[in-house]
Amino acid sequence: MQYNSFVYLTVFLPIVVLLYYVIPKKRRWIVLLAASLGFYWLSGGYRIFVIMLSAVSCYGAALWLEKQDKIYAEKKGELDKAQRKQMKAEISARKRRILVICILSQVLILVFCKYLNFLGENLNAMLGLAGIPETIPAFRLLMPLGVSFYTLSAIGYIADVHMGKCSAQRNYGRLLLFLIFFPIITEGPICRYDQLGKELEEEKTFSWQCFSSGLLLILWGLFKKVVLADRVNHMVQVIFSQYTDFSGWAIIMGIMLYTFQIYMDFSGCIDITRGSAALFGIAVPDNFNQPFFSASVNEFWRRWHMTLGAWLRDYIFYPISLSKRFMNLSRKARASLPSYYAAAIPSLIALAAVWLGNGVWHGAEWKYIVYGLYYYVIMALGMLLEPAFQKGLGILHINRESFGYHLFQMARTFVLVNIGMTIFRADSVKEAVRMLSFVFVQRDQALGFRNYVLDNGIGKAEWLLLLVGLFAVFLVGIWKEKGISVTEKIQSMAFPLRLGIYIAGIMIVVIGGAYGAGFGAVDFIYAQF
Amino acid sequence: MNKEENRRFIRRLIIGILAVLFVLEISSRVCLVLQRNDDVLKDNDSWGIFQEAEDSIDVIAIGDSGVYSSISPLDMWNEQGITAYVWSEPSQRIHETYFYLKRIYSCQSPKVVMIDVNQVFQDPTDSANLDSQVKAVLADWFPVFTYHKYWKNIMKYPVYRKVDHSVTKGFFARTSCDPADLSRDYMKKTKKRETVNEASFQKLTKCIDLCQSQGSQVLLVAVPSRSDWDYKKHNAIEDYAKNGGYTFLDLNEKKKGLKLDWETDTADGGNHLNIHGAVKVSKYLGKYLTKHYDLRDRRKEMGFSSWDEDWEIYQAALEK
Repeated sequence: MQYNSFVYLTVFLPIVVLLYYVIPKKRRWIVLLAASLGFYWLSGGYRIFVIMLSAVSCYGAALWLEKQDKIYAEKKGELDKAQRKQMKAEISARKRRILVICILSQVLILVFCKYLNFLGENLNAMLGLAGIPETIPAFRLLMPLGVSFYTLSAIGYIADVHMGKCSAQRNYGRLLLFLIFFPIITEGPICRYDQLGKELEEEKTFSWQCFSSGLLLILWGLFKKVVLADRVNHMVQVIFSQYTDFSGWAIIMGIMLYTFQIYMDFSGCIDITRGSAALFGIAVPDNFNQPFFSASVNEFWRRWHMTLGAWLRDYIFYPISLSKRFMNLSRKARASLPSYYAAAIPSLIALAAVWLGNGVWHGAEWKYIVYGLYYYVIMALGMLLEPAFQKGLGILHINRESFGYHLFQMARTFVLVNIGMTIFRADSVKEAVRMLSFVFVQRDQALGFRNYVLDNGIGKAEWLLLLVGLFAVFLVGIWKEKGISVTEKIQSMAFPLRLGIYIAGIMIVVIGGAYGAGFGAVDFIYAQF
Repeated sequence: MNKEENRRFIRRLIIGILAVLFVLEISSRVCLVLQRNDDVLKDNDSWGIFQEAEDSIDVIAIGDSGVYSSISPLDMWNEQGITAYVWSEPSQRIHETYFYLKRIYSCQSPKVVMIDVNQVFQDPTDSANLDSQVKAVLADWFPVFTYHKYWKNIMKYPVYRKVDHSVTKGFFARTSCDPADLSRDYMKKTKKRETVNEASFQKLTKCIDLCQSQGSQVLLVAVPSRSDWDYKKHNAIEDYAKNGGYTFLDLNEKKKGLKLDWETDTADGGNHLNIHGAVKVSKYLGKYLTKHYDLRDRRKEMGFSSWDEDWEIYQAALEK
C-alpha cells in the first residue's frame, strides 16, 4: 500500500485515526500495532514474519543485555575491588558477544534478502575468471518491505541498549511497533528508540495543532510527490534510457530533472510519513533540511537523508574512530604528521567505512558502491586540499564569507550532487560515465532540449505547473532557513482563510496530480532500497 | 480540549468536509466538459452516451484504451445498421467498469454488452485491487478523480467542440502508423495460465450479473494487442468463461477473419490499433454480432438519421 494511494489516504488512515482516538489512551498503541501489521500484511504478505523475527532477536538480546547489568549491580556489593573488576570485564565481554551476535543476525537477514544474488553474481564472475563455470544459481528473492530501514533501527536499538542509552523494552508488541510503525516502514526515516520508541509509549491526547499540522504535511508531501515528482518521471525515463539520442543540453536537463524528482519523491514521502504520524500526535524526525542550499558536499549530506547520515555517524564512524586501535593510530599520526593532517587522516580512514556503508546500503549493485565512494573521494580531497584552498583564496583575495562566494559554493555542490545522481540513476557506472561524456559530444539529429524536453516531454501548461511548484518549494525552503514555520503561519490565520488554503491544497493535488490514466503508477524511489 | 473547543472543532470539521465535497463536485463537472475534444476523431467522450436518445443503443463495448482504439461503432452502423457505443477510458479497471455499467443502464437498455477482459489483468495484487476499488467508488461520486488530467484544456475553453456529442460514439481514431515488431509470436500456444487476482474476477462476474439482470447478453472480448495480450491471458479467460458458461471472443485468435496487418494496422508498435485496424475489427465484430445475436438493422428505422449525419462528419474528418 503506497502512502499516496487512494486506499491509504481515504480509507486506511482515516479509519486508524478514528479508532486511535476512540479507544482509551492506554490501549491506543495496540491500534497502531494492529494497523501497522495490517499495512505490512497488505503490502508484503508473508514477509511480515521476517520483521517479526528481527524484532524477536532484538527483544531477546536487549532483555539479556539488561539482565547482565542487573546481575552486576546486584552482586557488586558483595565483591571486593579486584573481583568487581573481573566480573565487570566478564560481563562486558559477554554483552559484547551477544551484541555482535544480534547485530550479525540482523545483518544476515538483510544480506540474505537483499544482497544474496549480488554476492552470487560477483562470486560467479570471479570463478569465471579462474575458468570455473557458473556455480551459484540466482534466487528469486522478494525483499521484505522496508528491510533496509528497519534493520538499521533495530541495530541502533540494540546498540543503544548495550551502551545504556535506553532501557530494553519489556513488551514485545511495543518493540515490534517501533520497528513496523506503518508511516515509517516504507522509506524511513531511520528512527532511534529513545526518540520514536518513547513517542510511541506516551499516552497522547488529541491536539488540533498537531492534527492540522499533520494534514498540512500530508498535503505538502502529496504535492511534492504526485504533482511534481511523478510528472517528470516519464521524461527522466526516456532521457536516461535513450541518452544517445539526445543533445548535451537535453541530457543536462534530464539529469537535473532526476535530481529534482528524487528530492521531491523522497522528501514528499517523508512529509506524508511525518504528517501521518502527527495525526496520532507522534513526532517523527525530519530527513531533509533544504539540501540544495548546501555550500559543500559535506553539508549536503548533513541536510539530505539526515537520519541515515546520523545513523552512520553514530554506529559506524564513532565506534571506529573511538576504538582503542584507532586511538593508537591517531596518536602515531600526531607524532609523525603536521597537526592538520594528523587530525584529518584518521577521520578519513573511518569515513571510508561510512561511505562504503552508505553505498552498500542503497542497493545490491556496484553503482551504489561507487556512488558512496564518489562522495567519499570528494570529501577526502576537500579535506586534504583545504590548506591549499585557504592559501589560494588568500592570494586571490576572495572573501569566503561573501554572498557571491557562497552562491558559487552552492552551485558547485549542486553540480557535484547531479553527477552523483547520474551514477545513482544510470543502469551502471559505465553508462553513467558514458552519459556524462555525451553531454560534451556534439551529434547530428540529436533530440534537443527544445524539441523534446520543452515541446514533447510534457505540455506547456505542465511546465508552468512544475515551475510554479518548484518556486513554491524554493520559497518554503527559504522561509525554513530563516526559521519561519509555514505551518504555524497557516495555523494562526483566520478559519475561512485557513480553510481556503486546505481546499486549494487538496484541489491542486487532486487536479494537478500526475496519477491515473495516462500516467504510470510511480513507486516511491527509496521504497526500492 | 474543553467542551466548547470540541464543539468548535467538530463544527469546523463538518464545514471543511462539506466545502471539500462541494469543490470536488464543481471540479468534476468542469473536468467532464474539459475532457471533450474539438477533434472529431479524438473525441472518444464516454459520457457522450447521455446525449444519445434513450434506449437507442443496442450494443455497448466497455473496457480500457484497447477498446476505444479498436471498435468503431459508426463502421458497424454503416455496414450492419448496429447502434453501438464505446465506453472506455485509458487503463480502465474492472471496478470502474461496474460503476460505468450502472450509469449506462440509467439511460440505455443494450441487448449486448461486450466486456473487454484485459481489464482484469490490470491489478495483480490484493492491495492494487483494493486501491482500484476505492478509486472506482470515489471516481463514481466525483469523476474529477478520473478526468483530472484534462485541466490543461482550460486554455482552449470555451472555443471548444463544434458538435454537442461524441460523433464517433466513443471511438478514438488513431491515424498514425508505427509497425509492430513481428519477431515474437505473441499468441504462441502454451498451457500456462496468467494469474488473475480473485477480486478482479469477482468484479467481472458482478459486472456480468448486472448486465444479465438488466436483460443484456454478455460477450467477453479481447481486442487485438501484441503488447497487452498473450496466450497465457487467453487461457486464463477461457477457463473463466468455460466455468461460468460465458461466451468469450478472443480477436487475437482470429487471424484469418480479421486479416490484420501489424505493419500497417497499429499506431504504436502493436499496442493499439490505428484506424485501418479498427475498421477491420469493427467489420468483423459487426458480422459476428448480427450472426450470433438478435440485433435489428436500425438504418431503415425512424429516429436514427443523426447516425447517418455522424457517419458523414466522421468520413469528412478522416478524409482531411
